[in-house]
Amino acid sequence: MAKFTYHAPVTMSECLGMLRDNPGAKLLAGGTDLMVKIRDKLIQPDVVIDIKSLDELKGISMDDEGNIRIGALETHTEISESKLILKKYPFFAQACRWVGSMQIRNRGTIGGNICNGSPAGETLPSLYILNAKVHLRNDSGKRVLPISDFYCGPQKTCAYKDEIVTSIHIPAIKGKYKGAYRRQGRRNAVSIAMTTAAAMWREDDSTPTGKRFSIALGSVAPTVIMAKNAEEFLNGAASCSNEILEKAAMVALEDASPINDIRTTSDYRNELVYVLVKRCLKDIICNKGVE
Amino acid sequence: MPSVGVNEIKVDAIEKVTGKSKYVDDLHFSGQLHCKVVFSRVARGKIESIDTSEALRIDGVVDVITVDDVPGNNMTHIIYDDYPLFADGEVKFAGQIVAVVLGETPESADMGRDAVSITYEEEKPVLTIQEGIAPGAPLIYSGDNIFKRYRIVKGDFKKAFEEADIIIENEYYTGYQEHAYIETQGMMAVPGHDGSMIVYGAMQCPFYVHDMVSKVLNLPASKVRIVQTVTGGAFGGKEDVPSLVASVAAVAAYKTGRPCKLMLHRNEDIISTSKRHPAWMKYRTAADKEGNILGIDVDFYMDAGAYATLSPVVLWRGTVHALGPYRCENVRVRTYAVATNKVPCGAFRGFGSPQIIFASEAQMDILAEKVGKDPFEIRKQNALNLGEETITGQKLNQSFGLHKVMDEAFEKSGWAEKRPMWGFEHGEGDIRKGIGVSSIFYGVGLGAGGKNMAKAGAFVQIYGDGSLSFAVGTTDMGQGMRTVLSQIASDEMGIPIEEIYCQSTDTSRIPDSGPTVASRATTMSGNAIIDACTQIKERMAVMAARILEAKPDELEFEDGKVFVRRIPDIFILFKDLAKRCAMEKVHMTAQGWFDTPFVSYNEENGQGWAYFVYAYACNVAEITIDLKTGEITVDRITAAHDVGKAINPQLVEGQIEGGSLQGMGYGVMEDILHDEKGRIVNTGLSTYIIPSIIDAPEMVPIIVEEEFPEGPYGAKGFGEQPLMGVAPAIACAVAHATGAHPDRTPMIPERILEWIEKKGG
Repeated sequence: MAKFTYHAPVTMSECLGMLRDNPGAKLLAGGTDLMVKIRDKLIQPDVVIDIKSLDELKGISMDDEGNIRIGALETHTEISESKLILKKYPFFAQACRWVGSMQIRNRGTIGGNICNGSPAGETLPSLYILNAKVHLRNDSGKRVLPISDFYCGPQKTCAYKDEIVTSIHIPAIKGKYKGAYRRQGRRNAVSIAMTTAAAMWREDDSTPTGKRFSIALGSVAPTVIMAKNAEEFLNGAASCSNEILEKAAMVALEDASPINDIRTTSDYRNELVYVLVKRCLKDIICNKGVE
Repeated sequence: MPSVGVNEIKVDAIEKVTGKSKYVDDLHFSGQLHCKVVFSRVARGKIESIDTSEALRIDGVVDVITVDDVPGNNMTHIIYDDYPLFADGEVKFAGQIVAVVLGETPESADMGRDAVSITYEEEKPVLTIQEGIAPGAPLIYSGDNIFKRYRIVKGDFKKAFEEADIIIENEYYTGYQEHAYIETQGMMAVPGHDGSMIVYGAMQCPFYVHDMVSKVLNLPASKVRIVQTVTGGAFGGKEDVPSLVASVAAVAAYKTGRPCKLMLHRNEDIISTSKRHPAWMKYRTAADKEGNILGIDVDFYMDAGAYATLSPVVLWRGTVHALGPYRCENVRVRTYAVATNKVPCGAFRGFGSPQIIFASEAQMDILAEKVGKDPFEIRKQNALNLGEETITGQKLNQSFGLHKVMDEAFEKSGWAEKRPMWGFEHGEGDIRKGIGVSSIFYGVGLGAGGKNMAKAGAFVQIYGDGSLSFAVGTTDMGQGMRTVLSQIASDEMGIPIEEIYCQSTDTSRIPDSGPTVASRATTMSGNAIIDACTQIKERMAVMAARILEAKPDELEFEDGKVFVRRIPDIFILFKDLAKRCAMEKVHMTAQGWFDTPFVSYNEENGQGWAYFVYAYACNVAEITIDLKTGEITVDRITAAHDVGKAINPQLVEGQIEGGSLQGMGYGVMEDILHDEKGRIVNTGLSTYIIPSIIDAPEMVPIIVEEEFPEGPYGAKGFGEQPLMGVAPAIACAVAHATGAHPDRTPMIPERILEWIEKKGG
């Protein structure tokens, strides 16, 4: 493995100073993606900044209004076992359980998964439909980006070189809602998904069905995407009958633009988009919402 | 207390579980260098230049070695002499060894490897069997790109097809399989001060390595010593390839005079080492309206890759197993190993048989459907009976557990209840369950295809304290040979297994015992140990007879005692006898030897006594299929195996479970993919998908013991067999669940959807 300078700041200001002074530096949290990329010579950073000691990047909490904050260093295991997440957004906890293997989930972090920015990232579709916000910080200040604006391309985030993701915020949902996540890989562990889909509805008087739908798709475009056409179709639909849901899943195909790659073909990904969206929609319609 | 038949704890389990075992990468010698191989990135072409100047300027890079540095013969001898160790002016596959960089550290060697610049005159590679045999194809081997061909001709197949009520004709493809052993290939070569060379490493066949290293270095064989280190899995992948890995390290050590370690990284291992042959099969079956097989006509092509390596013998096993354990009087089988510009394929658990079994068993499923019978019934009906002949004309006259394994698997799987309840027609929504069967046989040992190597030695020594050490020429690669042979030695001398130690396999200790392949270690080395123990017992018995005032031939060695058979309470403790023998210098060491029982084969017509005995298995697979995504889940595998005698039942079950999972991976997940230039693209375990523990189905291993009189304690080999019939059983279950018959492996969801669509479901 190529050599690099290793820093392990113990305060946030120390870390931000290092980021400012080393523009090519890479942040190390769980290391489950970073170390593999360095070993495979996909990246060769001169400086690696280990942020594991920054306690302010940890913790899962909810404020009085019901907004949830997840620290960037929270591991997939911690999120998937969090009572709060399991109660409020069980489909998101479930998505976290699909990440890698038990060892990877114990080590890998939500911040890392977001910053790695794989279109197949297991946590991302759920965060998209939850309208999650990414909180960033650098030496000169803070900013917030909706997750859907966080990516500029495949595995490419819009974070500045000196910025660090500090936390992910899930805004409170007023009224009832219900979400679901489905994915398909080649095996049941340590498997990068061929296609992922997440869907949810939340109470909304302004649509004919009283429900507003969000649908996100992974591994079928350069980044995770919202299936805008399918959402629009459902939000204008008169009912949530099986036929409507199946039609919506067909419409989702217009949103996807999958490619052939080492994992599967674009044709098969289209099959999966249809089936996974249909099943996610049935999951959320056939179950009553939570408050 | 006998040890054979008991679930003794694996003798090396604790050191493995606690991390104490020394694998080759755990060895460190003072002054050692690290080797990094420069592999060809081109599948076919002439080497124009190799520029090492940049690499040699890197701090820590000591040397770069190419074909010019080989002191002896650069040619790898496996069966033919066609495979250069270092590429010599041309390359024939991407992943071929061109040069090796030696560094003081792994990092410097790695940087040096990246700095070696090679230019090629690239040529269009031959990438499929069809391209290889096409008229006018670029020549990779000889005049027709066919390394080897075999045929079986028996009866009158033409007439059988003319008279048949039913003819089933199909083509089948099976994909690659990578061994994916946990420990990648590696060797450590240590030059002696006296011109000798010791090579330590992971391997199945130390004598192959010995032969090649001495020829490559041009050293007398007497100055070379090969020592097998604890080996982390092999599955056939460490049969031929270690000879090359060892030779590269040895050339480096020879030139520099320093110990040299060569460890392959996973992606280097995947691009450069052997795999299971992909195959293309054209299979015709003739049957009467009852579903009795009248004739078969089979063309079987294997994609051998760029060099012959083991392909001729892999092809031979595939040829002999072309029908499986069924009755058929009229046979034509024609088989071919075809050269392509891809990594040479070689040995892999099953050795050429899983491919053809997939095709022949799929034909059985279709036959069952055509005559309206249950797939189990059609197999029982066609299954050979004791005394009947295989397609090579061999009478199965002993240790014949075929019907027993079928009956056991039928019972324990609950076939009779499940088959009519499940299937495409029974179920609602997108989910279907299916149940499928396969029955197979397996020729134990090298057979007539390799009978000159089919001998084995053992060295046994009793110490003055009554303990015993032994050495054999076969190897333990994780399958448990050390334990099983210790159990045999334990019972032979009548002493507890704790008193027994199995030495590491070392070519200076033991005569050439052939390779550890073909499920032969237990039978061959086991019998050689029995031979050695018998010799020692005869000598010790003379002493014991004197002490006990009895005749030597009426003594028994059992329970740590030597006693007179008629009057067991007159005895001497084995320990006391050994002490006495040691004092009086009774010769308590012996070299044992076992020569294989009779085998024969006529290459003209493919008739003969191909193997000295067969093992038998019946697998039942239960699956769930999602008709909309094609996703397949293997829920349960019932696997009944006739092993002759289970020396250690738990290890036998371990083999059944591990082999079944590997067979499942072969059936539903695993495949090697190439780009258009012939380079492997899935070079890691994140893209070459093998089953994880979470994917493992419930397993029901069943042991059947039909004693093999010539095997040690009745045992016959079976280590490969658990893999062989699993993919066909799953295919049969897929056909049940979807109504569509799979015609290729792996049975991935994309293909399952295609089959369903083609069927019009």
